[in-house]
Amino acid sequence: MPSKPFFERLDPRVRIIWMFLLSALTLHFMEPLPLLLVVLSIIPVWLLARRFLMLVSKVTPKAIAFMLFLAVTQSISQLIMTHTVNPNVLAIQMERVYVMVTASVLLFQTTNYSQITAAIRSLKPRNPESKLAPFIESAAFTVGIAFQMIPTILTEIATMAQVRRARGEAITEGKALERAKKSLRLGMPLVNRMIDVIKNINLALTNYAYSNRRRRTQFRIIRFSLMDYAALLVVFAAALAFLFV
Amino acid sequence: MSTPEEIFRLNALSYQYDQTNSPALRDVNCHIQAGEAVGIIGESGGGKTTALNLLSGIIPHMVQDGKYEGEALFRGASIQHLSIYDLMRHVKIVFQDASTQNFGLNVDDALAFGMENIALSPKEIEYRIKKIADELNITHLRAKNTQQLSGGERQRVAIASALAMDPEVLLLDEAISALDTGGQMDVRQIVEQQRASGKTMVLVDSDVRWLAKTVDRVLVLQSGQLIYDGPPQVIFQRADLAEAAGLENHSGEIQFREPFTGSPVVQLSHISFAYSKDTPVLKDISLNITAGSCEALVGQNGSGKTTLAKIIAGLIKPSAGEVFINGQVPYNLTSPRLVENVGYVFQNPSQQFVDETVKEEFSHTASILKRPPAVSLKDFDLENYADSSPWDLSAGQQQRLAIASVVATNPSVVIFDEPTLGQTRRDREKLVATIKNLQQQGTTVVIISHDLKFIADAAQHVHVIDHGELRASGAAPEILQDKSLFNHLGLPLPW
Repeated sequence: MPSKPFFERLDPRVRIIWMFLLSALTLHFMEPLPLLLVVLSIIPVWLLARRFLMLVSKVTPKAIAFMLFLAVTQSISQLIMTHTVNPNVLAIQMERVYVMVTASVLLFQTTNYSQITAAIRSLKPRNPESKLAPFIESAAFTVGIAFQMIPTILTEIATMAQVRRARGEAITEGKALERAKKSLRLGMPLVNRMIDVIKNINLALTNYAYSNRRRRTQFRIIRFSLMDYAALLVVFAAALAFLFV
Repeated sequence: MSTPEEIFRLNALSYQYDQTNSPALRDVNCHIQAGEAVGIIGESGGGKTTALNLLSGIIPHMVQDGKYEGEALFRGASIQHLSIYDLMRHVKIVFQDASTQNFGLNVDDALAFGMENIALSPKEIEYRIKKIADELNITHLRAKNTQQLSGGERQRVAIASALAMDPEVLLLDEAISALDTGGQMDVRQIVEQQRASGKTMVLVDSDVRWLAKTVDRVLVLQSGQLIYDGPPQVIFQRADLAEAAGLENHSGEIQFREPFTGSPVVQLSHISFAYSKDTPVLKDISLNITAGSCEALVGQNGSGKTTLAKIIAGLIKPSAGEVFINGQVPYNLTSPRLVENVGYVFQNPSQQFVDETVKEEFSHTASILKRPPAVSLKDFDLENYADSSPWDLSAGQQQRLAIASVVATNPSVVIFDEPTLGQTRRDREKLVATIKNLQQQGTTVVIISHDLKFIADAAQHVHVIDHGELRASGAAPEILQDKSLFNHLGLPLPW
């Protein structure tokens, strides 16, 4: 089995901190040129994550298309508001979006939701009586269940469309607009079905004695290694370098 | 010798769901002692699931819209007044639908979830995961994503998750019937092990004969009333109990149906299907289905049977290959034209319902086609439920409504996806009669099922799907007696 890339071997909290720091830096800089340096700083991380080719071939075209769309809408917006288009402002906005989109894609490509929830749970105070603990537990659980629900919702939508077709209703037939209008018919049944799913999940959670207010242990404990501390140091050093150099 | 501790006691317990005309359970008195294995049997709609929900505390703590009379006690304390969390620390229930019972990215996470909630140490969790995975033969699944598990695998993981918490009482609500025969054998072995180890268990299962061999005592429910509480052997000796339990006349000999000859109504040529490049579901399947025959698609959980049936039904487009039904490509047909050619009865009938009342649901597709239904609700014993909500019907009644609403448009091919799930023996016998009746009217029937006894009773031709490939195809008597084939598939023949 091939070994995991260096970036994936890092504690998920390091990757999350990296993404947040990068996003914060993009918001800090108000000039296109320093922002370009931040953009370029993502490239070595892509390489460390062995995602360079994938991101260049798949994400970048999508990101470029999205940015073009954003550029057009922003230009129109600027024209309406100020009767002129400022290329500097546009460039800053594009760079910010690019950094945030690619950094989040890289984070979610290399970090599964189990690691994200473990990272959130690791923020719990050691004192089990702490009032903060239920909030952190709720946040971690919400993230986990949201990720788990996405495939469930997609499967439900597909099944409902199949059911309607099998019952003689032409939900997936006709032109795009017609299909979109017909698909609205799935809205209420989908909501009803989701309510059922949520009820079942609630039942199962009770069955497994889950409560965000009770002490629970963690099977997967994440701990910082020396490598993680070193990586964190590099991330902060780079951030400071951007800020002051 | 000390008397075993009493775990549950029901005193004159009745329960009626809102918006129903009669109680789901009425005036039930019984008790269950520590270490006992008790089976609850009866027709669909008889109150079995309601009884389990009352024992687990789901009623009245989670389901509150109903009238509760009498009392249910857990170790002498009223279940109504106990905290549901305190009760659930001791009692675990495994439901028939495992799709929402596993929490976590992969199987290890799902198994650990309940143990984390009762604050076991990571070391203890690791130990128990290994032990239960070995015992339930799911070690190979431990790293697998829970979203990629087949229905049977999900059920095994759900049972393992419950057992890993080491509950004092385990309640199984038709938790085995969704599994293929190999999976059923694995889980039944576990149930027998747990039984031998003295765990208190209450089981609802449609296989009354297995249940009778496994449990110490059976409770027979009929229309919500407890009509028998005693040793299981008695139900085979008393005609009224055998009738209430939905027990078939067991001659011990399988009567296979004669093969059927004729021209093909469905033609599949080199059909392949994949959700993505890495996950092929069907590989190069070619087969014909004879007009007017009853043919079965058989295979393990996750073998691709349902996908193949949905391709025949025009609900999924194959990735490669050609499919024709009555000489037309089903996927290209408009929905009204499609339902004239093929009807599909979904695995979970409640997913199929789109209307508020039984009568509207029944005539839904026929009204789209602007024609009167070809059958009546009376033909399916549903005339008294015409104004009820389809979702309020029992599993057996829902199944009958789903079939009635599909058959109402008189399609030339009807596909039944796992129609025996959650059904009693008598429901199955009715289903076999319905299938034969449909055939007499010239309808072709395709069944997807892992219930080999049901297939032997209903099908004339059998197509065996093994991990997405067509492994064998032929007349039912020939295929269903090929022990080496079925052993190879991990689906041992029950005869």
